[in-house]
Amino acid sequence: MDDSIFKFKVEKIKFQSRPNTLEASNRLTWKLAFVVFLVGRLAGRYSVSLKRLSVFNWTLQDERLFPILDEIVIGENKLAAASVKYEPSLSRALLYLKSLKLVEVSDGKYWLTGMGMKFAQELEDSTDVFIKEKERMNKFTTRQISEVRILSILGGR
Amino acid sequence: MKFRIRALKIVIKTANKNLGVSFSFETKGLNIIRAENSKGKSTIYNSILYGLGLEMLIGNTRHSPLTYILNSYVPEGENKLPIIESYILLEVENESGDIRTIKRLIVPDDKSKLVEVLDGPCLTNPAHSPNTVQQYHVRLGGSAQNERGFHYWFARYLGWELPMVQRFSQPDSILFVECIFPLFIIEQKKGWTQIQASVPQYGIKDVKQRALEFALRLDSEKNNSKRREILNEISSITLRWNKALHALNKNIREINGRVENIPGEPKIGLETDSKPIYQVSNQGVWISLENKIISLKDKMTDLSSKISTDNPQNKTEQQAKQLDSLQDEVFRSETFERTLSRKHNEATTEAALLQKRISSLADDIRQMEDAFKISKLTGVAQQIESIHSCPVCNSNVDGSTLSQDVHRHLMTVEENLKFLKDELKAVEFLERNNSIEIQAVESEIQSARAFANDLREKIRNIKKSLVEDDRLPSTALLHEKVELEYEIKKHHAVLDECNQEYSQLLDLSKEFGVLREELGKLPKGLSETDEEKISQLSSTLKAYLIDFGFGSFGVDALDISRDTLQPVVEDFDWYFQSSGSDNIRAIWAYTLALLSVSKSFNTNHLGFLMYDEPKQHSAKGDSLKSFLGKASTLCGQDSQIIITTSESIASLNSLLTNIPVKKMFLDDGIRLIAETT
Repeated sequence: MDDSIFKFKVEKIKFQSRPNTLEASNRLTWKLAFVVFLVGRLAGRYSVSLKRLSVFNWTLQDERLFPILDEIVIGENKLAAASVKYEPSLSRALLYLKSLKLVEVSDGKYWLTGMGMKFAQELEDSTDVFIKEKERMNKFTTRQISEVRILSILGGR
Repeated sequence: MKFRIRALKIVIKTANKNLGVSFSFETKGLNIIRAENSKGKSTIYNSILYGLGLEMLIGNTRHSPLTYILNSYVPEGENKLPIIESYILLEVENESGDIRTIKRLIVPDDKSKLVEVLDGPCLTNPAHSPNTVQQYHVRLGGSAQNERGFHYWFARYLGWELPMVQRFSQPDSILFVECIFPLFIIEQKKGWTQIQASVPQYGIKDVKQRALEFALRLDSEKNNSKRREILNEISSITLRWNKALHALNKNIREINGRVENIPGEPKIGLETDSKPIYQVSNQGVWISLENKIISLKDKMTDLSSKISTDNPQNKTEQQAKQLDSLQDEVFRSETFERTLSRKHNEATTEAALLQKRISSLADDIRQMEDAFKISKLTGVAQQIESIHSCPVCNSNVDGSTLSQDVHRHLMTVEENLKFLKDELKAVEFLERNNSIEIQAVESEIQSARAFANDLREKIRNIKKSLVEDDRLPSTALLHEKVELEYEIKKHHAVLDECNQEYSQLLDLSKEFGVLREELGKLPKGLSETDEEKISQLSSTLKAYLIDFGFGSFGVDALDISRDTLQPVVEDFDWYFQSSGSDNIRAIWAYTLALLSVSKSFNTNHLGFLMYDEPKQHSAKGDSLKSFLGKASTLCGQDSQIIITTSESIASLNSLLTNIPVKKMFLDDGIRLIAETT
C-alpha cells in the first residue's frame, strides 16, 4: 500500500474550543422570563403550585406539544396529563427567580413579588414576545386553568 | 418640523348637567398646568394623548385608558350620573401655520375609533365656522398606512415622511407615529422609568433606535431606509424569479424533462455564466432537448423511407422479430420504473424529515428571537442577563438553566440566532434540492410509463398489422409516424416557451445586478453630519446634567452609544448606575438635549415637548428650577413645552421667578373638570 501520505511530521496539534449552541428554552434569559410570564398568568394575585406550573412549562415551550396542553386543559384527558414531564430546569429557574426577588415561595406555592409583577406586566405589554404562548393561554378561561381543576386532572401524580 | 397645541377642550354631557374644561396654550413658550393630586391633571394630559390617537403610550389596552369621569359616569354625592356623550377637542398648528381642530368622541364608545378633523381655529375663535370636516379612523388596522387612517393624515400634517422598518417575523412596515412620540411626550405611569419607556414595540426590530434615528434625521436612517427599500425590491425580484423558474420547470415537465444550470435564486451575469441546459429523459438517460428533437427528426426520416419501401413479402417475418424485441423492451422498462419508484419513496421520506426539521428550527428561531427581545427589555431582563454566578451558592453560572457541573462554552444569543438561521438556510437548501430531485424522478417515472405505454401500443399495432391486408401500408408504421409528428411539434413548442421564460430570467438578472450595485454604493454607518449631531447631543446632555445636579457618577464617563443612540457609561445603559432621582434628571436632560440639537441641525423634532409630573422621586427644588429655566430658554420663540404638576403654588412661584411661563394654576381643592353652563 502506498503510505506516502503518512510521511509528514506532526509537530503540534492544536485544538480550539468552539462555543456550543444552546436552545432558547434552556437559556436563563428566556427561561426566567418564561417562568415569570407563567407564574403571572397562573397565579394572578394568588399562588401556583409546582405541579400546575410544570404542566404549562412543559407543554408551552414547544409548539408541537400545544395539542397535549389542549387535551389536558380542555379535554380533561388524564392520560395526556400522565405524559407531562417535570423538568429540573424549572426548579432551577424558580430558585434563580427567588434569589433575584422576582418570585416568592411558601408551602410549595409560588407567586410574583412587586418587581416580578412589573416584569410580568412588561412581558404582557410587549406585543412581540411570547406571541404563540400568549395566544395559546388566551384560549383558556381562568376556571379551566385553576389550581383545583388542573390538580384534579393530574390526579395522584 | 413644528407642532403646537393651541387649545384643548373637554366636553362631558349627562342627563342632568354638563361638565368640561378649556385651556388655551402659549404656542411659543413654556406652559404649566398646576393642580392638586387627584384633581384631574393626568386626565387633562391623557386627553391630549387620546385626542392625538396616542393612547398606546399610556398602556397597551384595548379599552379606553381614560378615567371614569370621561368614559363612564360623573359622581354626584352617592349617585353616579351616566355620561351620554363626551369628547375631546384639540386645536393644533403645524410648520406652515395650518390650524386644524381635532375632535374625538369618548362616549359613545362605538364612535371612539372615529376622529374628525375640522379646518381652522374652532376653539380660540368661536366665531369661526369650519368649511371642511374630514373623518378618519384611529386605532384600527391600517390607521397609519391607509389614506382614511388618522395617523396617515397626522404624519403628513406634521411633514414627516415615515421610513420603512424591519419587523421580527413579519413584513416590513412604516415606523409608526406612536413609536416616535415617546421622545416628545413623557407620561407619568411609565414615562419616567427610562428614556422612551412607553414605546410600543409593534414587532419592530430595534424600535427605539429607529425612532431616535428618525427624530434626529440621521443620514444613516435614510441610508437604512433606502437599504430596506432596495432589499424589498430584491425580495420582489426573488419572487418573480421563482415564479418564472417554476413556469419553466412546469413547462419542461410536460415532455418529462428538466432544466439544469439555472440557479434557484436571482444571479448576476446569468447570460454569461449560466446557459440553461434543457434535458429530457430518453429510456433512462438524460439527453439534451435539442438532441432529442434531432433524434426524433432522424427517426421520422427513417420511418418515412420505411413506409415507402414497405415490402409485403418479408413483412410478417420482420414484424414477428420486432414483436419479440418490443416485449423484451417492455419488461426492461417496467423493471426500470420499479427502481425509480423506490428512489421516489426514499426522496419523499427524506422530504418529510426535512420538513419536520424546518418546522422545529423555525420554532427554535422564534424562541431565540424572544430571548433576544427580552434581553433588550428593561432593568429586570438585563439583571437576568448579567447573572454570572449563582446568587445562592456563588458558583459560576454559564447563562443556562442546565446543570452547572459541566463546563460549557456557550454561544451568545445573537451568535446562536445566526447559527440557527444559517442552519435553517442549509436545511431549506437541502429541502429545495430534494424537491427538485423528486420532480426529476417523477418526470423519469412518467417518461418510463409513457415509453412503456408507447411500446405496448406498438405491440398492439404490430399484432393488428399481422392480420391485415398485405397490400396496404402497415398500420403500425402509420400510427408511429403520426405520433412522431406530434412529438416533434410538442418538443419544439416547449423549447420556444422555455426560451421565453429564460429571457424573462435574463431581464430579472440584469435588474438584480443594478440593485446589488446600488446596495453596494450605499454608505454604511454614520455620516459626518450624523457624528456632529450625536456629538452635540452628547455635549449638551452632559452640560444639562451638570446644571440639573446629576450626581450618580461623573458625567465625563458618559457618551452616546453609536449603536443605540442612548446614553451609556462604559458601554452599559446608564440607568443601572444612576439613582432614581438622577434617572429623572437624565430624562429631562436627554429630551431637552434632543430639542437643542434640533435648533442647530435639520431634524424631524417637532419643537414640542410634554411632561406629566416631571418632579418624580423628590428631585431637589434646585434641580427642578434649573430644568424649568432651561426648558423656558430652549422654548425661545419657536418651541412649545407643556408641563402638568402638583407642586404647591408657593413653591412653583418661587421656582419660576424670572422664568417666562404661561401659568394655569388651580388653587388646592379645586377640580380641573368642573360643571359648565
